Amino acid sequence: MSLELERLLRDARATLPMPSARATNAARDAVIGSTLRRRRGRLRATAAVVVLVAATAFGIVAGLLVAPSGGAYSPSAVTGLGFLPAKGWSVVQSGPVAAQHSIAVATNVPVSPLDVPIDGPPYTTIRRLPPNGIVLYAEFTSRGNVWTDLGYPADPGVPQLEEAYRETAWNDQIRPENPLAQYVLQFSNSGYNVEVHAYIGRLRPSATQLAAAQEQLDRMIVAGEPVTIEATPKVVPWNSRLTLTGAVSNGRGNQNVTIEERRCGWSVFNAAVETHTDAGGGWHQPWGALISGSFRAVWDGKASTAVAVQVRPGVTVRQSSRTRFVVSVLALEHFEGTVGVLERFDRAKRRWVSVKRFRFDDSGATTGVTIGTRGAVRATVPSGALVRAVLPRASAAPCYLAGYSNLLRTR
Amino acid sequence: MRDSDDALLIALAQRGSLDAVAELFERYWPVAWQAAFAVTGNLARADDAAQDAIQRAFAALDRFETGRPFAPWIRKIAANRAIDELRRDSRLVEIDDQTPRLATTIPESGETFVGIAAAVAALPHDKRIVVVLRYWLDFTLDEIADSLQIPFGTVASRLSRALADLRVELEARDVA
Repeated sequence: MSLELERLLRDARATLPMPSARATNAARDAVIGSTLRRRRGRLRATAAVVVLVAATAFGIVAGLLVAPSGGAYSPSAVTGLGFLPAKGWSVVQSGPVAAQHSIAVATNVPVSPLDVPIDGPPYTTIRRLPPNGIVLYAEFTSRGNVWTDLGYPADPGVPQLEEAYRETAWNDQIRPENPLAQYVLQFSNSGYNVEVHAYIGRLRPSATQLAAAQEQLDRMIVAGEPVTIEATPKVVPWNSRLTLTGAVSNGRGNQNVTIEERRCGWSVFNAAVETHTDAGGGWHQPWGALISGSFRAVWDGKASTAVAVQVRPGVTVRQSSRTRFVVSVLALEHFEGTVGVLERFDRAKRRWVSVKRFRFDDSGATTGVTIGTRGAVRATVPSGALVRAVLPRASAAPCYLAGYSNLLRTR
Repeated sequence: MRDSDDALLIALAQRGSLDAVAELFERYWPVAWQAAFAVTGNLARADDAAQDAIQRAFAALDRFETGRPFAPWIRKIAANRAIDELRRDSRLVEIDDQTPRLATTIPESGETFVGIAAAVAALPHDKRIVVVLRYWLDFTLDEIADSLQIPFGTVASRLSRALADLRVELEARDVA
């Protein structure tokens, strides 16, 4: 009775209700918000430095534009993501402009060579910041990820330092032994999420310093591609979904965006699906990729740069008898005549070793648009070994990456 | 498979991936909330305690040892946070009768589990919380003693008396 009662008690937890949507949304916002505040320089743009302009009278934004420093300029005439340097300031940018992510640094002190090329906050420069020094660090990320977008309220105006969140926690300090004044601003503009960090060389900055930082902030440009696209992940197993995301530059909702696909083997892009932007101008579209190819977004007659997606074929292996294994491949093309490999996991070497190469010799099982290719291989593998089948890259190319089967414990 | 997925997500979240944080939240928010609700027996308090707990958990993610299962960890944080909430409100002694309790949220049904859950909800509060921690949240007796800050022997005797009460109640209801 006691054991039975204990079992029933454990099973009764299934009656616990689920949280309400309201509570879930509130908790989600809180978690994402606090995560974003904690985030430090995680973005790792791989692009090279476009330009470093040191305290000169001219600046270049993302390699596209030369503008007089400290003088009047027309923001509407400027494209790119980054800063136009104010007088006496330097600007370092990552590029290219068309990238989904971009980083910009503006500072009134020389940038440490250790921080170049720029791929995150210029920590060396920040840690050596003199009392009168200021560093502005900005990350620009194309909208379209519903989770990320939650943390970036729309703000089409000039970002104001006085509205920034001031980081006061000890563990937020980049230089705790001689603390800095640190500020964070998060907003979205023109289809981009923008996160700006301001670092000032003394804990209690003067009004002049704050004004100087704001003057440089006034010269921030958020004018990237008209429409962007990103794929997550970019390598997908067979029959798995990826998410295409992006944003339009006017930051408006309910805008028509056409996703175009150019499958491997096609010479042109073809319309694949239509989607709409959400309130901040971001869009996202789940996609089941069955073959490698590339995608681009078209909005208002303008096309984004293309993003490539690579797909692995679906490979399965089963053991039909003690020494016979049957390997099947699912894809949008057949692999008859190509070579596959049966592999065994070597526990001593802790790696996969080839057992036998074989040739796929049967192609005909077709389900809808999917083509099945089959091959059989005779091999003696010790009972209880772990085996898998591989369609190597050389056999799968050019339209697929290598495919790896399920793991099978031999009888 | 799920554990290895979690390990990857946790590692990514520790490196600052917002997508990984989001995915972990989707997976484990219900776990945290149910733990808080099981302890408090009150929807509003469960909302507050669970939200606070999951924020604390993600803030402490850098210290989480990847490879360990995530669910028990977050369940424990949520349960302890809910216990703190009750303790602060002195509700470990007496629940406010004006607030909806666990039993009121359980649908009327002839199912055995529902009858058992209702019987658990009807237990005196000090016994109910020990039963909930032991059988719904998988705490060990040591962990219960630690969370409630009461001696191990008290936990064992409370649990024993609670099971005896439940046995009588369920026999009367003809459930077990």
